[in-house]
Amino acid sequence: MTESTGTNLGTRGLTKTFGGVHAVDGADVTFHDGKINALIGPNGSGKTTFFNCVTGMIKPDAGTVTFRGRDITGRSPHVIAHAGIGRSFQLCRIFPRMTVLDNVLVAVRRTRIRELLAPARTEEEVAKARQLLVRVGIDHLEDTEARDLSYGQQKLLELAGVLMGDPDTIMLDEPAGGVNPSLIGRIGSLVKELNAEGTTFLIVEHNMDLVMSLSHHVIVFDRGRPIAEGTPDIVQSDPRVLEAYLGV
Amino acid sequence: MPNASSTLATRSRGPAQTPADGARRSRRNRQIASALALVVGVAVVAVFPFAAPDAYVLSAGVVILSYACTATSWNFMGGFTGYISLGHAAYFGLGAYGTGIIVRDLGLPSFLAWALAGLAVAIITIPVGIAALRVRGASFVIVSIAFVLILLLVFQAWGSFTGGSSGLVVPRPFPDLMRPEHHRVFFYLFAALLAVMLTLWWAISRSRFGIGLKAIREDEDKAEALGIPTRNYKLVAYVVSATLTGLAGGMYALWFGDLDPIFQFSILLGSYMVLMALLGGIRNLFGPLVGAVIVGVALEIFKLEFGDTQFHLVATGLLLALVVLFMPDGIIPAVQAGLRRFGPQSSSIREMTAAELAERNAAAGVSGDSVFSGGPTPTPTPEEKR
Amino acid sequence: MTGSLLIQSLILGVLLGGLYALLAAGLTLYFGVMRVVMIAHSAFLILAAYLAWFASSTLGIDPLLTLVVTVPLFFGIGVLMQRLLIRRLRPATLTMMSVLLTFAIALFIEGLIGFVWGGTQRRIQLPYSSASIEIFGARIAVVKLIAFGLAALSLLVLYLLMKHTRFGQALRATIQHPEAAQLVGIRTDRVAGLGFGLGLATAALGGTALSLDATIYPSLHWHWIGPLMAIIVVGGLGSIPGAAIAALVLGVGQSLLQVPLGTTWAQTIFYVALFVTLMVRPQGFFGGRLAQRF
Repeated sequence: MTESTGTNLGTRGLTKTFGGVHAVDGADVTFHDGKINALIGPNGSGKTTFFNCVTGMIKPDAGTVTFRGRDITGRSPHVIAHAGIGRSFQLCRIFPRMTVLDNVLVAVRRTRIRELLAPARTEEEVAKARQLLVRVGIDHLEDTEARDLSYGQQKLLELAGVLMGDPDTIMLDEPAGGVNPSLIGRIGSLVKELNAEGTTFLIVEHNMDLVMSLSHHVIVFDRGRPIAEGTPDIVQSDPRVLEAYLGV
Repeated sequence: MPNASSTLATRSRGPAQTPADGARRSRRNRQIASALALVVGVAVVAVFPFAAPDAYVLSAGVVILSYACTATSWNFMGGFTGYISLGHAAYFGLGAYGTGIIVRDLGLPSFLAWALAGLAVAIITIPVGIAALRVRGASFVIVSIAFVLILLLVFQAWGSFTGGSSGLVVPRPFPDLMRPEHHRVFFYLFAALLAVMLTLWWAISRSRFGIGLKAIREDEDKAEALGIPTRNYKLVAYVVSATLTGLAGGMYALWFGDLDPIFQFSILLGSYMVLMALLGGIRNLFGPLVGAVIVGVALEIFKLEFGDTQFHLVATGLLLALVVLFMPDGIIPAVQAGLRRFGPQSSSIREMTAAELAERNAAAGVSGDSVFSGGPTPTPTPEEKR
Repeated sequence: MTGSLLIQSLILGVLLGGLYALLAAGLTLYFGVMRVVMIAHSAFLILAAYLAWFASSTLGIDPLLTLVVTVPLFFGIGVLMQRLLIRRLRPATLTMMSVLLTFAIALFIEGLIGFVWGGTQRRIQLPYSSASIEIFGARIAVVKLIAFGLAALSLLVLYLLMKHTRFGQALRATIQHPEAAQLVGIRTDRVAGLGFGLGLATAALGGTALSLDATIYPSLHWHWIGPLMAIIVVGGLGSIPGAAIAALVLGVGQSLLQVPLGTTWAQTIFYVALFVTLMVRPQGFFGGRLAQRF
């Protein structure tokens, strides 16, 4: 078993139905604070819908989502973002016709009304954004339009943008999807570094090598609800997991 | 536009940063060019009313400036958020009629009425904006057109209040002025209004609010996920845009003095705004102004050449279709790209980044995780790469 | 309101609703196959009406006979429009840019009509123009019945085409899920072209029906596109049955309101319905999941 820690994000009875199909079906899930949590499961098991319900992109039909004890069920995505959850998208999404630096500067903390007309490029925030670009390794491209970046660079840019919001918790939807192995390694080590600095991660991922090497706690999803959880070793040897994946 | 911090940071990173140098140089060039264009533009506006050969040309100048005002105010929504409203004539008409009706019924001074009409437009826009912005893309356009059509119906049918189809006469603010003087005064008033709009657009474009709006234009869901309250941002942009359009309409009412629902709440007027902004370039501060001058001059020539026929509709339609099909980014970016290609030194900014990019990709493959050590790491130089 | 007046308004509303339904079905087709809001739909409607008027007034042909020419002609124009113009737009900005493009086409057609036939109001004079029949004490003009019959027949043909032919199947598949349709071997771009042609053919039919009984002028199309767009939003973008139901409901509503309020104010029902829909149910009242994103 995973050592007991505080609950970072939890759902109770979370349900979302699309035209009679239960994409998420009464899911009770607990993610642990300060850990790298992974959510795995076969295609169509409802991971992405679950993800979208938690981040507010979709309003769940029933159930609750709590983040650090605060009920965030059905709140707007920007409210959830301000609560401290940053997210990436499955197919990486950036602002194609803005410069790399501006892409990062979009995600500043909550802006008060009187700050709305303040210049976006304050010295302090530009410095912070540059530091993040250095951290993910694309600082030399700051004046380039984001659409001119390679796919891998766009993934790194998206991550830098998420980090700009100083999230306590970062949700990554298939960070290794469509990315070459060397970049997967880079993303993996970046996740580890950030986790060591105290950021909690929730990762939806298909790449088993990455999941097993990275995560402390794995939750297996099938048919819209968790069927098994634990450390990577325990999950790997769980017969229910094999069954779900192989359809035995 | 580089501010103090970006220049500082670029300097501190040493001589290896040729792309940044190139970018800085090209930015400076662009800045000089913009400043030059601005000086020339201001000079032209200042001199035009005295250089114009007759009252007709002078009044055409006023019309073109009013177009520039409407197109620029349209661009507060269209340019920043990418939401294309074809019905902004609604706000033009509301501002115009609001000004006229307040002067007529309350007897307030003309320019106080004008300001109050602007306020009224802002208040009316809030519920309309809330409804229209619940949907995206196509539905938003539908609502924008529907709003102008509904107002046309109402202002035609409600004759006792609006004067109906027989029109509304707005008293002139300066009854003592002769016609050319009247045009001259309003030419400068429109120019001042335009200057205010351009300044505000510029301020927003470099603000947090502006960067949020641009993010909405690029990818609304993503912007929301990064913590931008997209619905409120869009609503504010919409209200600002509509209010400024209303102020332009009110100014037009005071200048022209005679309002008719057919012309104030006309789909055509709204489509001129879109055409002008798109033609000039909606991402650019001066795009709508450039588009307004081109389209405005063309429309005046059409009127002279073809008189009252419907030919200007055909021409407008053709021009809009051509812009949409072949130049959706507008003239200013096209010219900029052209200059960049032929210019002597600023030419290589794109190429250099591309080369850098390839070089850096190669470097990344070798140096592996070292870039992730945290904190500011110097960019690998060619030495490190080996 | 007397009983016979009520019945008359009801019948007129249904007759009007039939025409709305046909035209809204056309608009829905374009939206379904290409995600295009075709602003020029009603401009083509008026163009067809002008062609019918022209044939009738100069050649002495019955306006209904012009259908033989206008329906295939409009079908062809629709296919070409999709192939040569709409398809050139970038997918990322297709919806917005296509609105502008079709808007430009609408202006172009309006200008062309004004240029060729002038801005004055036109009306077809037919031997049976003033004929009417009595139903339950209500007097209904024969031309209105013919127009309705034409619209209803066209809708029925459209329905059978969609439900019972291979082409209709491909069309419905493309509307519901273009990617999946492509996977099962449907050439969606060809289907989209034909869908566009079919949509424009409804404008030809509607325009001819309209010409029997309406005074036409070049800018009339703006008075049609507003209500039609309201109908497809209320019905749920992309749903043909939704559009048809909304068309009938709103058509009857407009007709009933005409008696106490007059024609101009009665038209506002469409816009009121549009705004109410957006506030209460932005995806439309009869629409599927398609409507939510647009």
